[in-house]
Amino acid sequence: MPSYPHPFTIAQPGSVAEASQLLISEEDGVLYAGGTELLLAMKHGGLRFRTLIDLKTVSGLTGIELTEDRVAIGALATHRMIAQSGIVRSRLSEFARLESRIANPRVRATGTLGGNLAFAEPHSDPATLLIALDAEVVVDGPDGVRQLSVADLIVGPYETSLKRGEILREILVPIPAGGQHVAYHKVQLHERPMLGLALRLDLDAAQNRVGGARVVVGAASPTPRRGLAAESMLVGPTADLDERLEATAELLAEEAELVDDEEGSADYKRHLIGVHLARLARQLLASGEPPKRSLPQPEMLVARWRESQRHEPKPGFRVVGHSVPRTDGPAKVTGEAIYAADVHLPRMMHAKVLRSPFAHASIRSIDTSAALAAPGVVDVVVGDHLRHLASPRYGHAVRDHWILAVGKVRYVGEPVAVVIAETEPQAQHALDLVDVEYEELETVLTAEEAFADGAPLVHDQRYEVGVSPGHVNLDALGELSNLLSHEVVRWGDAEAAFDRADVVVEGEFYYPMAFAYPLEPYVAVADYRENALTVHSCGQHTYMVRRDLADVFGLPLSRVRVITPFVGGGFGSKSYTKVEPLAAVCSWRVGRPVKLELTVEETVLTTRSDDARVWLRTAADQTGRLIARQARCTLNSGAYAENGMLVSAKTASRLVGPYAFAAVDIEARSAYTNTAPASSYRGFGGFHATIASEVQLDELAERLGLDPIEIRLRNLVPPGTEFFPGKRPMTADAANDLRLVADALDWTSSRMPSRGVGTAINAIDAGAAPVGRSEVRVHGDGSLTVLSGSAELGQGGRTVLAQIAAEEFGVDLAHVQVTQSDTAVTPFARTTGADRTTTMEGTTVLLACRDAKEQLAEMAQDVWEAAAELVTLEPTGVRLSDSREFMNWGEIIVRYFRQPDMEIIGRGHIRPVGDWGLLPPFWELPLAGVEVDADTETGDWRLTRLVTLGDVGLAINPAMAEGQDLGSAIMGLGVALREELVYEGQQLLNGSLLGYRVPGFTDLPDTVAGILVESQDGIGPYGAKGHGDGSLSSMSAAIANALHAALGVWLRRPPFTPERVWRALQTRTATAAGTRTMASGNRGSGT
Amino acid sequence: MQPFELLQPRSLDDALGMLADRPGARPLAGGTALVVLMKQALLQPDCLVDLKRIPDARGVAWDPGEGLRVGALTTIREIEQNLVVRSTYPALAEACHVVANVRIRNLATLGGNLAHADYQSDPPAMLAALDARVRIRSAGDTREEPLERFLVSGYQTTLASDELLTEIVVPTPNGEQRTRYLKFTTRSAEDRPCVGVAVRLGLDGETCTDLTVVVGAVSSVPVRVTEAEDLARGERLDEGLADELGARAAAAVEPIGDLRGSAEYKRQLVHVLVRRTILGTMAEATP
Repeated sequence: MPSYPHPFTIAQPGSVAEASQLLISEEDGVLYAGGTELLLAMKHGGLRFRTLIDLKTVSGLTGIELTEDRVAIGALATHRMIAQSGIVRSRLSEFARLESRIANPRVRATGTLGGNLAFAEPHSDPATLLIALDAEVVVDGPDGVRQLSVADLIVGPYETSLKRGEILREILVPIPAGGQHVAYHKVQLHERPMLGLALRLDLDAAQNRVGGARVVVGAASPTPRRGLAAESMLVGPTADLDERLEATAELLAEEAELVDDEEGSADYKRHLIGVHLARLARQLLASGEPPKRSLPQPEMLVARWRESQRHEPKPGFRVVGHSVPRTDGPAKVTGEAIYAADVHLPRMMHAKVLRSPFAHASIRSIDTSAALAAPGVVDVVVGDHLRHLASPRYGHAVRDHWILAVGKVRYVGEPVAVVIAETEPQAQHALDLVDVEYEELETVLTAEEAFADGAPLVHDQRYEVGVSPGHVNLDALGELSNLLSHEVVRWGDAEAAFDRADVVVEGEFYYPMAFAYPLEPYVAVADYRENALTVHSCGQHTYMVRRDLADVFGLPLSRVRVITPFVGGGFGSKSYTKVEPLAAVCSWRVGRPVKLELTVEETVLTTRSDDARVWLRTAADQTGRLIARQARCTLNSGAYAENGMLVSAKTASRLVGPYAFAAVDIEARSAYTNTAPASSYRGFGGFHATIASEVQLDELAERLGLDPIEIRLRNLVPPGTEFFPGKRPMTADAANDLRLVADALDWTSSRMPSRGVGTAINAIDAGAAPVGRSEVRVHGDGSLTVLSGSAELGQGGRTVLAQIAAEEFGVDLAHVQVTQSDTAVTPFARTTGADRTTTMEGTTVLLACRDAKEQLAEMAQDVWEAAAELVTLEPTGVRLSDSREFMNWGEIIVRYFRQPDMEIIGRGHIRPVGDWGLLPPFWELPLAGVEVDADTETGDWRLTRLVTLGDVGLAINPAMAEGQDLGSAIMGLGVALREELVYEGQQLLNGSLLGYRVPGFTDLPDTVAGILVESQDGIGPYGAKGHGDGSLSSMSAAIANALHAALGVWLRRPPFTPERVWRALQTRTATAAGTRTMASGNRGSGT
Repeated sequence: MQPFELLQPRSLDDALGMLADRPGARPLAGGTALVVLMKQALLQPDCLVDLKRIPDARGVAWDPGEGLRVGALTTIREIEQNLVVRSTYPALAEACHVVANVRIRNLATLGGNLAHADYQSDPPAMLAALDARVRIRSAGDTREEPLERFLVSGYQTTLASDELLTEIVVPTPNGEQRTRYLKFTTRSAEDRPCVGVAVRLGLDGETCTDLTVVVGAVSSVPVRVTEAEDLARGERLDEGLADELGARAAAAVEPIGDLRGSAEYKRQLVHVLVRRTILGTMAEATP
């Protein structure tokens, strides 16, 4: 934790001589230049100085001057001044480039080169290149001025050869002579470089020889190291330089005395030296110019390191594959973006909901007379009023969800009445005046209670199935009960397999109910008029909301219009229908538009995730090969079906994991209970399963004496393997992905006491139903409107679709507009979720673009009166063969129609046949690696390192893909840390902003690396595949495994609150006191 | 939120007059606690007296003799950043620094914090350890009392409905004394404390000349652990003694179990954290 620096005084000398005197006279005095390192050390490192001698007041130390053969840089020149100096840029271009990449703009604006060298921080860039340039420094002190090389200046970490009272005043950098080529590469994962490598080759062009060389390794050792032996190996003919490089790199790595540190292992640095020495040498031989492509994102380096050995460089995309700024960014940061809550219609009224205080109760009577008489109140709607609707209930799977409670309430928070008034406060105020008489009924609050013999029924009637029944099989459920669904995944003979297993682990796990916590609560604005309904909604499944509304009112789909403006976060919780029917009923009642906007507290009561209890056992043979798995799961799905059936189905299927079991016997049953309805939550089923399946992998590893990575590598199914009967074979190289994460986490290096590393992986059958269509309108000026029904939830869908269209048409991104989802305008999109937008909507946009281009080619034939084979498509238009005639897209349209501003429409769709016929369309691998630091006395722990991996096929927008994956991991961290909805009896204890804590910036790990693997092996556009659910599902298991490595205790129930960890430690201590046999993993110290 | 009337007095006397005239009125300072309570309908005052426009009630002054005087409307952030506080009362700066997040600290006031008397808060324990006193005014009267007497119970103080807390006075610590505040959270780094420990320690070499230990956030008011203080005085302070002091503190508190931790767990934390805070105070290193 940072603290305040101890008090100090600042001395402001007027000259170098005065500063030098102060250095000698002041006890505990220190020179103060930019302060970027010094102040940090004083704040965080406990360095204490009484006097800071501020050199910034000394004039004449910031100049940059050119002499005949060198550049003199004043010690107080900031990194930015150097990076922007015309002299440095023209004479020392590589050094200018280095300076422009130091740290961040804030540090560059204040940090000075002299301060940097004098501080001698080992993880720093400039000295490395300066040594390669034979730079010297001028030092002024009591004994006069002297000059020494940068190599001689830096003698150790944070240690220089400056004597007492000496001040570094100038850096002299020789300008490379003709034939001298110099370049610098750095590898940086975190705050500071992991490796810097400077190479200078003195080329003798006439003789095709390297006449001299300098090679310096920085940041990887206590001081920058010049490789003298390596340099001598570089000297010689250029023709076979390439062949000498490998041995040279090995020698250089030896000379550098690499250290293992938090930035990377010595082995990895050794590898990187080889890679970058070769690249530097080739770059210098080619032209001496830096590569045109900017340096890859640092976080990607680890991935590219492996990828470069497996894949050809990707073809040159123009827009796709580039981290273009998101198209909605400016509107969102300036507040211009419109969300459903911003929609204000003429004559609009406001609704507020009266909610049940009881979990299960009959409604005896409702008296609305006082509320109706209150100021501004226009109507109070109760369950009785629903009789006039085509359906008083909705539900895409089971039509069980009463819009308002009729007859009885089933959970605390269920809507009982809704007040409609001119203003929101008036509606709020009148809620207190509605008088409801209840008669309490016996409750069932957990799945166990719900399944008990003689349990009271949450629903005492059967309902019809909805339009998208999915996994609903009402007939299979038997008699009326609280059983909502019963899912079975079974193959092979599990019992026999367990009988012949060498090792079996067994245990019970529990994943808590959680709130997805989008910033935007549920909101809908409804306008029912002229027998048609328009609803502005925050829902992420626009078209499924439309279907539910059509059924409620008995309207044809064409008379229901649902518009989804920007959605303020969904994370699954905005899936399916929520408040839209209630808002619509209000408008239908009063004949005016009505806005219904929930508070966060109401939103928590509207949807949560299922909690799941999973009993699991897994069998392996003595080599660690997995044989069989058996599971029984119970899920608490709350008062209404919502998406509960699919949640239990996915929990069952996602317990299999990316492994090939000979026998599997899994059952999942979910229950109706008197708690808030559970539904989708990012990656559902995945996190419910992974906490069990992946902790058991580590338990097996411990029993077999295997490393946790090793046991997984022995079992992960290779790409193309059919491992789950009836489903698509594996679509990713999971073993390679896991190795990348282990490497990035520096898995095998030694660990500090109380620290542990852990990992977890799963295979998620992602992608939802592969069906949908898009349209692309090509306008007379060549610009494009992309019509897609996919909602923009903040995931960046509109940006990605625009990138695909811009790529296909060779137009500027600014000329592409992606419309908001609007059922009256945009084509059908089944949902926005389950990682489908890039892969499926992206494919339909791609197909629509290609359809439009084919139309344009045909139109060009007509314009030119040319045969089809003479007209060829080019990136930005069409060309008539054997002529210079060319038309861009706009010209084709204008000349064909003889009318400016005409347009054409291209269409694309996918449906579940052919390539898309086999489910899932792709397997998504949630994969996380973590390092934790745990406190054995309090049970408190902290995530110190996080590595996530997105196996995305191709990142259409790498920055957004990475952001999405890291965001997902942090969301998963929330439940591992603290997130859990806590019921006490019928009441939710922490369903508020204050009560339910999500991770803040201060909870984030010290270092984070997001790896993207781009093998172009996906079914989507250009080989992309989705990764929106991300690493969330694996976070709790990875952290449980890391905590075991650190502490020697198994944790099977997130959140791993300090108290739960402490209790686990207590239990272990009590056990160990008797037997003292507790083994600690080889990755942590245990106790 | 229920509708309410907002009064905006320009002087302390006007404010006190309004509070005396309107029994249902509540004073509003930073609003970080009050407005949340009103939104959740836990409090529904029909009138708020906004104190933020009163001059002179905000700011920090220090005199070696009189000590630190903090105007009740001074924000937590101002105290945290004040140079005098940081140099002379570093642990108070720390106790303010760890309150919630910077957005809250920019709004919340010290007077509001103390008058609200939420037991899960950081500054009260530290101020109690520093022997802080509070100054209180009503239309006709002025009084002053120790903070420890002012805090009666959770959300309960000696303030009458027509009184306002105007100033907090913190004596200048003896030059030999070191102070420290340690906050422990269990739900998120920005959460209210599960346990807070404030220590003021006088040392002669390794011998404890004087010790004050106050445990915050576990009981309805900050708990001063006099048993531990008596035990330590005159003794050589080492790890063993620090652990014993932690045990005494754990025995002395009556923790309230809640979502931040059970009573049993909080007792364990008090033991560990009191030991760590005392040892940390000796080492003068950051936790």
